[in-house]
Amino acid sequence: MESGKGVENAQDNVKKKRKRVSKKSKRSWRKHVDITEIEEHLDEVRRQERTGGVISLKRSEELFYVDKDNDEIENEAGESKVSKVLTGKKRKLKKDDNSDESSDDEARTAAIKNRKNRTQKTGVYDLWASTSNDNSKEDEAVENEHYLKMTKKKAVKQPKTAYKVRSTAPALAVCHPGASYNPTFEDHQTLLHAACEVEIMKEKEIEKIKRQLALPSEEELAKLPSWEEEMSQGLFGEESDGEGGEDSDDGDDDESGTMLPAGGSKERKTAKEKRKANERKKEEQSSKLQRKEKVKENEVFRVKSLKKLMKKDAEKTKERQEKKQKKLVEASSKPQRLGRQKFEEMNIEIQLTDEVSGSLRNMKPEGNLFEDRFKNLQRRNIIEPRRPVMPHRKYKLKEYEKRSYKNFNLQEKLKKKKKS
Amino acid sequence: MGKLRKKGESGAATLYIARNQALNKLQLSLPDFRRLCILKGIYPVEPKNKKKVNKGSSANRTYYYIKDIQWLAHEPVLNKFREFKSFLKKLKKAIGKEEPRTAEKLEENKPVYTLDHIVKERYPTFIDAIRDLDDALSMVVLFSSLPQTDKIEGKVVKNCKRLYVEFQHYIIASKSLRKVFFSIKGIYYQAEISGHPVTWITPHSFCQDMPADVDFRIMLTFIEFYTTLTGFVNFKLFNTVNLHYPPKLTTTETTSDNDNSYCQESELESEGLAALSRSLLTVPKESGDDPVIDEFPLETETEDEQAQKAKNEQESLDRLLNLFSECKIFLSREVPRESLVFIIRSFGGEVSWPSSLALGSSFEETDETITHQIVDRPLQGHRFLSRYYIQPQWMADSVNYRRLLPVEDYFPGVDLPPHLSPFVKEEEGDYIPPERQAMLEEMEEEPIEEDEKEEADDAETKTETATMTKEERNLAKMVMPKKNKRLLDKIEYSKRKKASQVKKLQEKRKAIDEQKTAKKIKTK
Repeated sequence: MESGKGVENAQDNVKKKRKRVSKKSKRSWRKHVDITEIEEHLDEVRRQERTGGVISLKRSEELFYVDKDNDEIENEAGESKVSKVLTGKKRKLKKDDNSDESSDDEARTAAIKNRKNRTQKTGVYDLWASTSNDNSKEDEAVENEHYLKMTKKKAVKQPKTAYKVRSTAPALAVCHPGASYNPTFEDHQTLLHAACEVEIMKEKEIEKIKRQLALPSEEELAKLPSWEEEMSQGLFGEESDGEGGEDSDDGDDDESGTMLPAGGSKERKTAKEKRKANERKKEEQSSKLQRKEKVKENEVFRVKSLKKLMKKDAEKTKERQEKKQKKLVEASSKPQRLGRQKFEEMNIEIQLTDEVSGSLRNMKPEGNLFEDRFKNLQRRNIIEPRRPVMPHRKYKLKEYEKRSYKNFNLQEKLKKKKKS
Repeated sequence: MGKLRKKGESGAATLYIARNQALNKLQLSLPDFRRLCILKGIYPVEPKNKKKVNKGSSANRTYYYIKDIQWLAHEPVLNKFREFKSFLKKLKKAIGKEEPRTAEKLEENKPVYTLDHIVKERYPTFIDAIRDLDDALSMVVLFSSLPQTDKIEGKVVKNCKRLYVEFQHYIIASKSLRKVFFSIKGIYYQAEISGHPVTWITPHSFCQDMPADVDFRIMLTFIEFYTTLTGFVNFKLFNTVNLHYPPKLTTTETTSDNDNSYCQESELESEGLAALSRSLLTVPKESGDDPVIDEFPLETETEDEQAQKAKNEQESLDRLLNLFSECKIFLSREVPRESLVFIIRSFGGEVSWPSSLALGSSFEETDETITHQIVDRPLQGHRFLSRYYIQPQWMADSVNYRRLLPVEDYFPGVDLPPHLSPFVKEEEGDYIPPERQAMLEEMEEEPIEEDEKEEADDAETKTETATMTKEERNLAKMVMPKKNKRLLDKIEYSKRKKASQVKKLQEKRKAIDEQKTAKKIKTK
């Protein structure tokens, strides 16, 4: 193609009368030189830069991809190397010897082929079809039970924890009606309100942190105790404080009290007193028992109120259970804490009132569906929130100076000397 | 005294396993482990009591059920991962040693794994798969709209495109689309497949860029599983409506030179399918009549009412299914062609577009039998008097209202009525904007007409009871125990609050409407 174009251009050139102008001076050269081609090229490059990068600078992988699937299909249609090998001379030789063995071989090759085909053509058979010859299979299984037990691999039992529902949040939450491209005024306002509330909460949080981190004002600084005061707190008896002094005095009194032998003032119990105390104790116990028994006997008449009490209790427990259940249901739709990072909700997609355009053509799409899907997976506890790890170097680069660089100054000096 | 019990040998401590421990147990790298977990559908859990699990520390770590991980150890795909690792090592070695033949041989015997058994395991029945289709479909659609980059292979994008086109063909053939919603995020669709609502979102064209904080390796793993799932679901769905799978167009027209200008010859078939303008080849039916609702003589009135209701619903559905059957619609080049063609075709309409725009247009703009032309810019050039020029919102609104709406409100240049979300479910006492109210009324129009008498009677009795309670209310409240009274007060308070909010919104709306009318008068 290119050569053809070249020929055409040449013909054009021939047809055109060559201008005979002098290009002697710089000015005349500028005037008569033809730069349209270059300008066109530059325009083209600029256009490409605007629309996704210069094509000539791109790697070929970015522009094209090799359709490997079709090659495989062609190979199949013709004869792939593997099939050639499998259906080659070897089988023919065996066929003459032993027909049984050869049929076995064929089956095996077919199985291998099938296996290969299966891997390529996934999705073109009915996965959920109930196999019609289930019964025959079962019979076979019964017959060879022992054999199968000894040889066949048993499928591993699926644990109860597998495929447990991790969240009741919907897989695809349809956005608020206020996010319609042409919403009603009310819907749009409610959505704006919601988004506004989120922003206010964020701002409050920032302010709170700022408040906590702020430096104290001068007045507050003056009020603060000095370092010495703070460090010496509680070390010495603070005599300057009137109250503290009193306190210490009281303490002294107590100490003096404890110095005396405990119960020293009381005299030892006589035998009579001991006996009397014992009797009194026994009497008290018996009266207590009697009272208890009386209450027990009288409880028969309290059946009605007891029933009421029991009913109340039952109601209370039921209420508590319901509350707990409700809490559980609520929690089941919320993201769990699955790692070091906390789940962060996405910003609500909104259009401000002046951004709402009444037509589909002028509409400005909001939000990113990739982020939406990704966050949705996190919200449903399918993947844990993670901070993306940027590619970084495992080991630090070692820096060293080259000899030539090291001696640079010295060499310069030498040069200067030579010159001078 | 019994045996001394040691800490961490029973209970919660043995129920969970931290992620790093799991990695050590399975001898996998972290990326491989994450991939395997996603494919197999094993997700992390949050233990109820972290201290009991983590030796007294309450630091947040990622945990899995230990049983899950033990089960994962038996997964055949896990072995394939290991094989692939060693294959890569061998290949690198061969390339490093400059042995191209060995490398070729290795490449030929590259270990490949399939996810068929995992799909079957995760979705034991077809219905299970349908229930989980929302996520899969949305992801497939999203990837089908992507450009091929160094991160995303062209093969993946192409596969996703094919799957979505197939699914769309099924929806068209089975007429199972129910709702459409144009939002600023994308277009939501809802279809009913074997009695289950399936919702998905498609992005607006040319707006998807890849955000930096989304881990693409994870998304690619998901798409790997979801494409397998969608492939099987598509096959089964095609079988249920007797369509040939893989899809083939009914009319294999001779490829004109014109067609070749759109794409390569090898891509012609897939592009023709993606145009959605022609129906697909069907498999001859074995036996089949469409199920018709039988009419049984019924005994009691209540049952009769139920049956009537069901019948009404069926009728309205039938009307919806053939909504655009008498329309011949032409799309101008400024409207989103793919989504509109899909909507029109799934309600039985005929559709075409400028032949210079894309492959598969069936009639030209000059066709006199065209009834509607969808435009989205001020009209220019020749106008045909035999057709209505309308904006694209008309289609979506008609679908959601379940009848063809009057076209006057949707003429080009006219202020469009708001586009309401059909996915909203209002609760009692909520504020309903007048537009939504109209929509709800229209959707329930017919049953109201039929049951008008009964309802009127009901209303009378209702008002009576209401007045009675109003008189007795105070008395009843006085008798009530304190607790119930408080509860009642709370309920009444919340109701009043809601009502006041509704009133506020209504006033706001009124003010705005007045403003609008004033503006109109001024401009006039």
